[in-house]
Order: sequence, then structure tokens, then C-alpha cells
Amino acid sequence: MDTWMDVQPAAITQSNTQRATRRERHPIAFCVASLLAFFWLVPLAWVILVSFKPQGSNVMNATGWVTPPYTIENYIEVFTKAPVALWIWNSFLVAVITTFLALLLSTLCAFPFSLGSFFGSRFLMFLIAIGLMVPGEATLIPLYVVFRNLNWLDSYQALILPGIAIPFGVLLLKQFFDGLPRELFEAAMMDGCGIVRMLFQIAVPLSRPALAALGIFTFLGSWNNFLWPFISTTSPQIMTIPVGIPFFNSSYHTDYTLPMAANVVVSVPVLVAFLLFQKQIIKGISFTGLK
Amino acid sequence: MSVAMAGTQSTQRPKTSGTWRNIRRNWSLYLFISPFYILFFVFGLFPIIFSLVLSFESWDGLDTPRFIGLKNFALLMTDSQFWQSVGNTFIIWVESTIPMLFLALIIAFLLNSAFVKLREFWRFTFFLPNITSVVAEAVLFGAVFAPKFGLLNWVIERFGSPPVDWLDNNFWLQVAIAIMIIWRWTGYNAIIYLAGLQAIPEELYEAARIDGASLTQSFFRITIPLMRPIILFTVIMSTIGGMQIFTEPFVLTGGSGGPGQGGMTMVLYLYNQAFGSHLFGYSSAIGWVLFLIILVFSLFNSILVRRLGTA
Repeated sequence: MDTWMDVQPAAITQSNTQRATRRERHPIAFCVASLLAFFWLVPLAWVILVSFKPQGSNVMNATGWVTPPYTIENYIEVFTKAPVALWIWNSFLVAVITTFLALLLSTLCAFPFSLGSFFGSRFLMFLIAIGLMVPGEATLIPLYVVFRNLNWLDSYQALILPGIAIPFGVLLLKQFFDGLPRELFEAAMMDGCGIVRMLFQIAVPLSRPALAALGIFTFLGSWNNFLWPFISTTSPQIMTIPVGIPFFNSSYHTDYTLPMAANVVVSVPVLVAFLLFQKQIIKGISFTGLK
Repeated sequence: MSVAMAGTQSTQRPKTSGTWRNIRRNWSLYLFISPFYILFFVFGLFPIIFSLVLSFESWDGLDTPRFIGLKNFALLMTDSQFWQSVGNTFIIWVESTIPMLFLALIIAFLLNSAFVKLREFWRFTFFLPNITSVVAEAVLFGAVFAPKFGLLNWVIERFGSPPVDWLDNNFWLQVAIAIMIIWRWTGYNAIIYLAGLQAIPEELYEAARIDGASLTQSFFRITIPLMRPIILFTVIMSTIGGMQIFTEPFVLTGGSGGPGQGGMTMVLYLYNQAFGSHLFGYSSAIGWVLFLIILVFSLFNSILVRRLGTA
């Protein structure tokens, strides 16, 4: 364990490169991390391998899952037997509209609170705090009843509207706007700049990291959301992909090959999103933790 | 128009006229916040009030609701199935949160101190499960934990042990759900910890090293104490999330909670009471008890973490 013992007494004057080489000499640390990573990667590798196995492969022998032959038959079947392409489109449409409206409304709402207090601002903030504290499950039934009475169950409105006004977004953006230098807004006000221009020409361009993080979280949250879409949709034409997949699997649960192919299909879009926005996602998570 | 100064002006003037002046001067502010608040009232606050009212009523969702006072809550206190679901939720929470946060701390510590070059890759590996859909994860783990031909039982049998009845036995079902939560959320917490670790000045570790401290000693004497606020944050987040576990047991047990009801969590019970038994009032009451449990338990946790830190 004591690999640090080999550090020379002159450690204080160590240069950065020396420090890096010393750091890499932790065999135990390396083994622990590799072992953990192995447990994290095995299920993923298994999903991908099984998804390429022909249906009815020798399931009696687990090694049979990972050895050839391989086929893309499962993927073709996933897309032909179920409206998977439509479900992905629904998920995408719902996630994009939700994200856009959530960003717009949260920005508009957070900015006035950050400028200073106005009549009712404390009470309105208190309402947002309440919304943040009450778990979504407590309001599931009323939400269902509201949409039933509006005759909006099983519609895009039902999937989109409840996801827009999220208290967390307003709090996150307000926190970020609060951190912007006051002088900027005071100077803009002196020059006769209105609130609209202050927001869109000063605050928004400076808050890109926070907006990006919030946007990605909203998108991922919407894409992966299960409980509410599951309750509010019944017809396959409106279903999003997380609701569609178990619906699809329930009719083909004799074999793992099709569900795993469906799993890969669900995961690829988020994987692409993650690879594209990795930096913002990591920053966003770190930001929420350090605040 | 001076927006920021309007608030201070109103305090200098007589209250009522100042208020109206304030509103009229700031009408654009209200215009800005109103789209959010309109949606928030309809789909956020109104359902909260509605569910509070419903929790004092008996309603099947179709007839007119009937006011029954505290009967729902009284029934809840004696409902053994509900208390079992509370117990299950807490067991799953303990079995998942403690290993998860511990592993996350270790991973973050390793990522911060070793293999600088591979950091991106490790972070990516551990975080990947977090962005995939819970449903996809549950389908995957359904296959991993399947009693016959499951991945895990195949490995176990290779080692000569009898296969484990993952989905039918209460104890193992709860372990299975906990493993799913660990797999999904460890990377997320590790990223939060990593951000915290990177904020600790390197000089502290160097000084400790010069004084002859081992890796383990510097972990427990420097890292843990300085990370206390961040650990508290993750504990509270895990509490809030853990009390609301639904999708994993729902998909894993097909909504039944398993043959011994070991996977029946509070939210799954709430869901079954509402959309299975059509007891809308009763399940609203469950929702509010759930809210209270989360509130009390989060407070308790924050006190506990603070105490542990000072002791």
C-alpha cells in the first residue's frame, strides 16, 4: 500500500512532469480502478454481444452468447416488428420541445429575480422552493386527473407540458445570474438599456455554460423519463421510447436477443449526445455539487 | 427605468402606494416571469394543492370525491403492506447508498491521484450507465439476474456455487435492485467528488507526504474531512432519490414487487394503489407521507453527517 514511501525528501521542488510519473506508479490503485471498470463495462459489452446473436441461439450455455455467429437480424426485426423509429422520433420531438421551452421560460423567470427584489418576489421564490421539495410522485394523480379532464391524455401536450416549468431550472439560472458582475447591468441601465436587451445581450451570452448544462440535463431527463409517459400514454403512436421498449419486450420475452438489440437502439442517441456534450455534462454536474 | 433600485425605493415610501408604484414600474418583470408561473401553477402547484385535498378524501377517480377526514392516514398507519414497502425502501436505500458513495469516493480519489492520461476514459466508463435509460438498464439487469440462463448465475455456477434465486427471494431481489442503483449512480457521484477533490490544494498532500503520511492516512485525514460538505450533498441527493425508487423494481418484477413483495417500494405501492386499485385518495395520502419521510430523513442525515465530521 505504501507506494508513497518511495518519494524523495526533495518532493517540494518536484516539477509537474515528475509528479505525473510518480502518480502513475500506483499498481494497487491501478488494479482497483481496472477491476471496478471491468464490472462497469461487462454488462455493456454483454448487451452489445447478445444483441448481435441470432434468435434462439444456444442459451443453455452462456459461452454460446458471446461466440459467433453474429447477425444484424435482431436490429431489422426491432425496427420492423415495432414502431421503434416512430418512438425514437416521439422521444426526440418531446425532448427537443421540452428543452427549448424549459430553457426559454426558466431564463425569463430567473433573470428578474436576480436583478433585485420586487413586490411579491420573496413569496414567488418560496413557491418555487415548495415545488422543488415535493416529490413528483405526490402530484402524479392530480396531474393525471388534470390531463384527463382536459382530454389531453395520450397526446404530445401531456408529454411536454409538465416537463417545462421545472423549479430546479429557475434556481440554477438565478444562482448563475447572481454571480455575474453587477457593474455590467448598472452600466447598461445608465446607457438606457432595457431589461430585454440586458437579458439577451448581456446575461444570456455570459451564461452559456449554465444554459448548456441545464439544457442537456433537461434533454436527458426528458429522453429517459418513464413514469409519467407510461401513465399518460396508451396508444403506440404517441409512446416515447422508454415506454415503448417494455411494451415491445412484453411480447417477446422468450429470448434476450431482441430486447438487447432494442436496448442498444435506445442507448445510441444518448450516447451520441453524451460524446458531443461530455464537457458541459461534467461541468454541469460538478457545478451542482460545489454550489 | 431602474429595476434593481425599485425594491429599495419601496421601503422608503408609504407601504401601499409604494407597492402599486413598484408593480407599475416593474410591469415588464411580471411579464417576464408569468409564462413560467402560469405553467408552474397549472402543472406544479395546483397538483400539489389538489393532492393535499385528495389525501383527505375517498375517490376512485370517477364518482364525486367524498371527504373522510384523516381516515386515509389512519388506515395507512395500520396498513402492514405499506410499512413493508417503507422497510423495503430503506433496506434498498442502505444497501445501495453506502457502497455507492464509498465506491464513488474511491474512484474519484483514484482519478484525482493516479493515471492522469486515462482519466477521461475511466470517467466515461463509470458515468456511462447514468445517461442510459433506466428502462434499458432494467431490461439488461433482468437478463443479468435471470435465475435460469442469467449472466450472474452462470458466473456463480462456474465457481461451483448453487445458483441464486435473484428475483423470487426478497433478500436477493433487494440486493439486485441495489446493484442496479449502484451501477447507475456511482459515476455521477464520483464526478461530484472529483470536482471537490480538485478543489483541495495539492500542497496539503505534499506536506502530509513529507511528514511520512501514507496514502490511506492522507485519504482519511485530509480528503474525507475537507470533502464533508460535498459528501453531505450527495447523501441528501441519494436520500431523495433512494426514497423514490420506482422504475428498477417496476421493470424487474413486472410491477408486482416480486413474489415475496421484497421489491415493493413506497412509490411502487403508491402507483399500484392509484392505478391498480383506483384508490386515488389513499395513494395521495401515501404521497404526502412519502414527502414527510423524505423531509425528516434528509434532516436526520444532514445532522448525522455533521456529527460524524466533528467527532
